[in-house]
Amino acid sequence: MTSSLGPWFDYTVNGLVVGNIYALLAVGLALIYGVSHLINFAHGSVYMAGAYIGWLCITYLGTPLPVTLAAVVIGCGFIGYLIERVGLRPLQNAPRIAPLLATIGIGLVLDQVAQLLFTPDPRGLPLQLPAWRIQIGDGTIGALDLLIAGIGLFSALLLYVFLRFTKLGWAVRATALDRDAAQQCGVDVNRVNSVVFAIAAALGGVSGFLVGMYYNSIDPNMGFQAGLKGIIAQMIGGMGNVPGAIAGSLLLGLTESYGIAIFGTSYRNLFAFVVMLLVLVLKPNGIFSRGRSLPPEPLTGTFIAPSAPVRIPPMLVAALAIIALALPLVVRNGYVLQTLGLGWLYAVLAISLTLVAGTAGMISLGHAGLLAIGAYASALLAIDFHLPVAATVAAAGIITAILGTLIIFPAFRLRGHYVTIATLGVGEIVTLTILNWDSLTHGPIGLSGIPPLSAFGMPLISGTWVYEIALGALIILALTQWRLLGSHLGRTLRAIRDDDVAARSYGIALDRYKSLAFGVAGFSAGIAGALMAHIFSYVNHETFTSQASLLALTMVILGGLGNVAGAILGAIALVSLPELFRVLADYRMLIYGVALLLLIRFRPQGLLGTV
Amino acid sequence: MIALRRRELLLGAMAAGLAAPAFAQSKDPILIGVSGPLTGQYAQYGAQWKKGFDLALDEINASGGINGRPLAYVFEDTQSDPRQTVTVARKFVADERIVVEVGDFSSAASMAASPIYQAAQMVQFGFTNSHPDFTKGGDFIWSNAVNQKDEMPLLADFLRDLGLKKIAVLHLNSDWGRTAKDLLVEAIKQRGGEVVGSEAYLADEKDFRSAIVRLRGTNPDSIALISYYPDGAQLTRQIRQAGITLPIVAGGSIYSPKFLELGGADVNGVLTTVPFFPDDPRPLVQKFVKSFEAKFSAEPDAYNGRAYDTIILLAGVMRQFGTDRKAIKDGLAKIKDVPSVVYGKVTFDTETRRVANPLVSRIEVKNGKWAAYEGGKVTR
Amino acid sequence: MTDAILKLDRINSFYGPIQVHFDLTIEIGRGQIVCQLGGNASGKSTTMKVILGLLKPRSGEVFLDGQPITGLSTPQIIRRGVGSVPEARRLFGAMTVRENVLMGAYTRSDRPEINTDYERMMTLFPRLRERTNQAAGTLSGGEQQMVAMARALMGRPRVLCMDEPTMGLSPLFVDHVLELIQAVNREGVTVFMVEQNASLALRIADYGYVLQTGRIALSGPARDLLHDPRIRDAYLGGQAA
Repeated sequence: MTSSLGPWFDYTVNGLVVGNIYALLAVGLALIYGVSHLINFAHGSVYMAGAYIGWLCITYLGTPLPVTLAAVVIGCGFIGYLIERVGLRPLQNAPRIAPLLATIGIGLVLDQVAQLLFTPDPRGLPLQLPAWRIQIGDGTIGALDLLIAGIGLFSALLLYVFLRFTKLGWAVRATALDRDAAQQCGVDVNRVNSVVFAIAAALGGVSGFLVGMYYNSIDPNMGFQAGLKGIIAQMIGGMGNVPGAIAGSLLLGLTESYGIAIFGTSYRNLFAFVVMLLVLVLKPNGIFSRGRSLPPEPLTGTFIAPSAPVRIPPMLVAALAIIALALPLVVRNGYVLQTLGLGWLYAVLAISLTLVAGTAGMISLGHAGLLAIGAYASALLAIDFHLPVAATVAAAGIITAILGTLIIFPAFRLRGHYVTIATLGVGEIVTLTILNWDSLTHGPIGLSGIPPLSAFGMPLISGTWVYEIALGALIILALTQWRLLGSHLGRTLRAIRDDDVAARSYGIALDRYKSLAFGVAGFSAGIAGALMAHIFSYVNHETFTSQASLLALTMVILGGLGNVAGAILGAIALVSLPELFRVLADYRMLIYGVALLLLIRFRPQGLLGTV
Repeated sequence: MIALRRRELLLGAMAAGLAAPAFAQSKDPILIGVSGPLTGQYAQYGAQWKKGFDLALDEINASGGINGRPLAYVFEDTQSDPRQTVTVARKFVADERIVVEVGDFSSAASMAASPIYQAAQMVQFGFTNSHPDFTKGGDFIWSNAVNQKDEMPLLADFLRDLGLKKIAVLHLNSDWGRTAKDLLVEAIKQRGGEVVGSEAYLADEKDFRSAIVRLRGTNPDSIALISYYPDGAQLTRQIRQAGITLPIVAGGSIYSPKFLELGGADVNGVLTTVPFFPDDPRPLVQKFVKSFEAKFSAEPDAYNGRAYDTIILLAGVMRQFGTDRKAIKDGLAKIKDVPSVVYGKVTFDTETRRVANPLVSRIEVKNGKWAAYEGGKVTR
Repeated sequence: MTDAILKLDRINSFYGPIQVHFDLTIEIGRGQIVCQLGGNASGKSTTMKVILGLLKPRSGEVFLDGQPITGLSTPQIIRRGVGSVPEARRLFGAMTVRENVLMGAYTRSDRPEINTDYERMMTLFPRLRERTNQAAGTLSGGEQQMVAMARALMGRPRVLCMDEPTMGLSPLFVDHVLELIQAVNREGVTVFMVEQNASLALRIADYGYVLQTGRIALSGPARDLLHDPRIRDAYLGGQAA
């Protein structure tokens, strides 16, 4: 069965075929980053939209391929235009975290709308091409592989001609290089932005359509993972670098394919994220750049909204804490107590994140990774070593503090968007490591039979206990953090956030302070994760996903970055609101997405303000 | 210790109360709490459940409900996320109108909520939870999903009967897929076969070319899939596109009309074993298929069938043993040979709290349709 | 001054809570070279931003030829005949010299005349002709200043706003740039420049304004200011005046 060329040839072809698909996404992302300095997390959703527009045309109108492609280009181009015009342009003067979060919110809304319109069931997208295939090595490639490669090359060429030889193309390049100067040449940068979003979205939509045909399968959730791969690919190629994005995509495809060849299929994504982190740390401008220095642009100081925080008198805080502690005396409903108890645990996660994201200025999208470490540490200690739960929870805090700081350490020199992407990668790596490290974590089987929280041999599983233990942990950790922030440490961390160059010039050892922040944050998050493990009694690699990280970040932003009270408020609000929306079942996530967008638009500094 | 003794006491009390099922006078509906995904990545399965539930309720309530009271369900969306199943569990156990819980979809999410149902002494009835540990959560945790411990040996029997000895396995890298794979490997070995290679893939992957190249290098006689239908269809397509014509034998979870739509011509010849399939000539199945098609103008799939079966089964238990939470638990242990669309007849093994000796049919894709396997040539 | 091509009328502008300009009024006479002087944080660069529409004043108006332009966007203001040579040049570093210069004609669509103007620029700045296909970012500071001026002039501005045109240049180039500014002015373009180097700027200017913490401290014909002892104090003795 083996050919003369051997399997490596096949792995190479496979890598290029997949890389080819990533490239169509990465190019659009690179264009947008180039012009708007924005990582567009909604890009994956446009890709999904392209697939559905194509499906609608073929199924209901019976259009031939060229017409379908044209419809996808126009439809997605328009969606891209709308995203820029309605979703992002009003945020032009907002701090730069706002548009980033807005793209996440827009992606969420688009996915949910698609799910409501088309149901979540995957659909077939019939191939509109002849079914012949060419034998290459031991595998085959079909007409669609060639079409995808052709469209990839053609759009790259078209883009090149556009950027090089048209007036608007020049304006796009000029705006990417220097927005203000372009304006002073009379360039309407808003229009340029619209054009760029439309082009990028059209490309993304076409790739979604082609990929849908390629796999004969489309579904409303297909975009997230694809968008992520596009982001990784353009990161490897260099943010905002269009030819780099194409090369980065092919490299990512090859890396994954060779990774599978050497280590096995389940290592694929682990491989992709590790490569991304390596590139970020060693060559943050992409593997084609010369220098190691970061572009000067994304400074955290402008990344986060400055505002005056709402002051809450300590007496009021104490009163609220006592009321909260006494609540189970009045409320007996286990459901309400469980919901609030989970809310308190999320509040622990949120104060942990608000310390690194708000106070130290490292917006993390991988905080759920810390939860996972804490949960597994405590559960494994309890199951394998039969230690008392109180001891394992405390140990989990310490283990998470150390491990969390160590794995995020390489990302300390990054700033702005780069931190966000790096932490996202770290979160995924934690999850994928748990999945693949069978001998320790039981791999995909997960950990079942985790002993419940207990004291003196008495299991504490009622809603009241869940509530009180979570609240107790929160009060202790929040007080500790609040004291810490009022000290020299808090001021130093804020100085680093606002201007790390200046902070460094005052002789502040950045790494030490950032480590300290991550250590404290890791401890809190580890405790929260451990408590969750004992409450759920079962955890696996999917318990703490990037969705949980995103939720935590939303809580922190809702409350106001760096604001401890705000984080708690945000957590309680975002855990209880979806419960209130339960009657709306199908619309729940949509409402959540819209709420997020409105918040970013009208109160980017959060309810209680940034500290 | 204390908890255990109390449980024994309660069991005794229930046994005493069973002889006289209570006939409720009220016309308020009896509620089943459903915990399942309506949004998120598993949303399609929740949508399929609903269809099966609705059809079952139509029939039950048209024939007098539960001793005069209508039966209904409350569907709480959990996205099959363990954090939310726990919360929903608290909600259900606190709601006195709810007499039994059904779901959740994934074993991970269901097992997180098990301690709450167990502590509240309310049956958690998982009908998709094939994880062997699921029902170990306590004596209130029941399932009529095919236990992988039952299904995988039957699949291995099929492979043996087909004369396939060297098997390469592709499986979903989840608790479900991994457990099934381990059981399948064991069963194949017991039957004198050999597993020459196995690859685990993630749920959100779409490209399997390189995994397939790896497996091809092991020179198998056949490829076994442990997949759901979207990824199963994808794998089959890509295996065929790689020019591999080996027989493909898959676990029953790929069974769905959607498998055919998503796989196209490439899935012809795929073999599987399922407890339920619509062409099954049994009259019960044909009646179900007809009414399902009349109501939804679509052919039912495995999830529709299981959802339907579950509600019919629980309604039967309620009619016979009463609607008390504990009565339901005890009734499940007592029922014998209840007619079932999925299994033919259901009796629970009171030790494992799963269906004893489930029935399966061997089927294959023939000319783009699911059809009973009638022996003969197995390659495409 | 009766014939003002550009007029700032009682401008009050802010960065967040911090006020930069206090009732700032400046008139720029047609065909003249007018300079605005001031030390660090005097608000002189902000004046440029206000004129170019990059910063909206909280109150006050900017008039171009008697028409208010205060609410307009930057590209709209450019289209009405204001050219800008921004502080530190701000060239499009990865684009070629030719592309940079032609970007200046972005608002125009008269192809043949653009080509004529481009040729004129190459005559005015002969050094650039040798470097037309070189990336602008690789040029020396003086050459970059030429590109920036050529780029601004390609828009055929009536008023050319220059923010610190001599900053960071070698003394040799400073003189050259000043000569170029005069040459441009002789062709009928009004020049408004912001400068920190007062004596240099006043040497070529017709009129000058001295800005101190957002207010006009002093103004008058350049010749008078050049000899005004208060100017010398301000620039030799720091902020004391």
